[in-house]
Amino acid sequence: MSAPPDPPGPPRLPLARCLVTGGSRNLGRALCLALARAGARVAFTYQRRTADAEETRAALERLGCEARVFQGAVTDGDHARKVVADLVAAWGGVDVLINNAAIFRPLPTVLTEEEDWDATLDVNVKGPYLFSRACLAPMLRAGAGQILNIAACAVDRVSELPVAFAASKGALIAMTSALAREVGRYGIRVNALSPGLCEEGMGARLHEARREDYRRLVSLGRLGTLQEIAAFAVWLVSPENTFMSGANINLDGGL
Amino acid sequence: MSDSRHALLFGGTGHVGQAVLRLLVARGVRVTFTYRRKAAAARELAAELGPRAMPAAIDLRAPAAIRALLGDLLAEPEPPDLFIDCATLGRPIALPEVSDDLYDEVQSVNVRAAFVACQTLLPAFAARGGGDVVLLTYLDGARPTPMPAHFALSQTAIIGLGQALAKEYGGRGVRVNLVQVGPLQDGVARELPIPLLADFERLSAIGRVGTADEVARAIAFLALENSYLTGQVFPVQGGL
Repeated sequence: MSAPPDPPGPPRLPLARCLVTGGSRNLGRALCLALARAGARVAFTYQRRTADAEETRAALERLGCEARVFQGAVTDGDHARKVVADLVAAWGGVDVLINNAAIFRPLPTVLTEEEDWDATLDVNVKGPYLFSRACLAPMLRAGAGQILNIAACAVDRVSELPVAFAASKGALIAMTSALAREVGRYGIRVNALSPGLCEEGMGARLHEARREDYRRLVSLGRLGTLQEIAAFAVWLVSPENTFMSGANINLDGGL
Repeated sequence: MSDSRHALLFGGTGHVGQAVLRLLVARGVRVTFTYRRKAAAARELAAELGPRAMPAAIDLRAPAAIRALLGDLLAEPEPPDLFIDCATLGRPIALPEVSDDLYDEVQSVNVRAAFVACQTLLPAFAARGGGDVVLLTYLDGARPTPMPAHFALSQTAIIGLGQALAKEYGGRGVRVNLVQVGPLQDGVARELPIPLLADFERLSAIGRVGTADEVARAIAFLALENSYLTGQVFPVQGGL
């Protein structure tokens, strides 16, 4: 029962204008493809891995999706503004923003340099702030929008996390709640999704003993898949989910 | 996928229950739904929704009656693989006015009925490879809201029940989740004082009360499409 069932009926996000940060590989790619399968138009950003980004673009185009790809750093406010300006010019607005780009430096605190701390907080917190700010202008004009922040704190209940990473994700969850209150009255919903450990991505880089530990502790007895995390995210940003905002969903198999 | 599923729905004639029933039937699910007093409403729903909506008169205060119904359902060729509990009793009554009988009645419908059902259903789900349980819990279990004590404790008890069952049966393919509901336009919220609803609208992120359809869509998603969420409180409550 690891693959999520196909959603019923017509596409969930027909022609929705979606932007995913960090979309070149792993969960970011899975999110892009799940949005495309739901009928959306998909734009994504990436920083360095051009070959991976082109692979994601090709996969989107194979699905018949109108894809737009932007290279740049999420910590760069000008980049965020230019990406959103391009989407407004091309598509007339942005309906969905998924703040997915993140970095993870597996360092104990005594070995964490200030540069590591700053980089982690910059990418994982300032990035979502810059992209949310850029997207809010067209969303406020439209009186509608969905922002989904990918946090990853679910794991912290059973596993040690680098302190800078944990602090950044905690901040992102607090930001989710605060922004939800600020913009809810304008028809914009803001939620967070905290995936547990997955077979691919960060989970694949962990030692097998840690993965086995997770399997033992989690209710469903297995790691997740990027596809099931992405399918869940699609529902969260879809027009079917209308009375949830400021929430953080621990999609972790039951820790 | 949904065509092969059979749901047992407690409280199918209630405000949220009706919305869940309609949505599940529209998605091809066969639904056995319970009712107690609203026989006419149950008949009308069955007539409107056709053979996939199967009413069952039952008093959820009586464990023996629940077990008898489950015995019948589990003997069917296609027994339920999905349990949704939308049956909730609750009125805003001040602490000194809560009689022992009222206390017992609220706990028996809001908590014990789900416990008794899960006691029989979950081993049966597990024996056939898995299933899903979605329980409703109202925002009264959460700290920021004023709440009648006897009702609030039933809502936090159901959360404890759901989380414990998720652990006990997760390894056998059964997912158990809770949908936390905020004030809605009708149903249990009809009893709430107007100033409380005004506070909710002012303080919540979405700034309005919800509808039964909004809750039903979340329940249907968790019941039919979710594969990795379990033991969680899914907050469909406007962002308080």
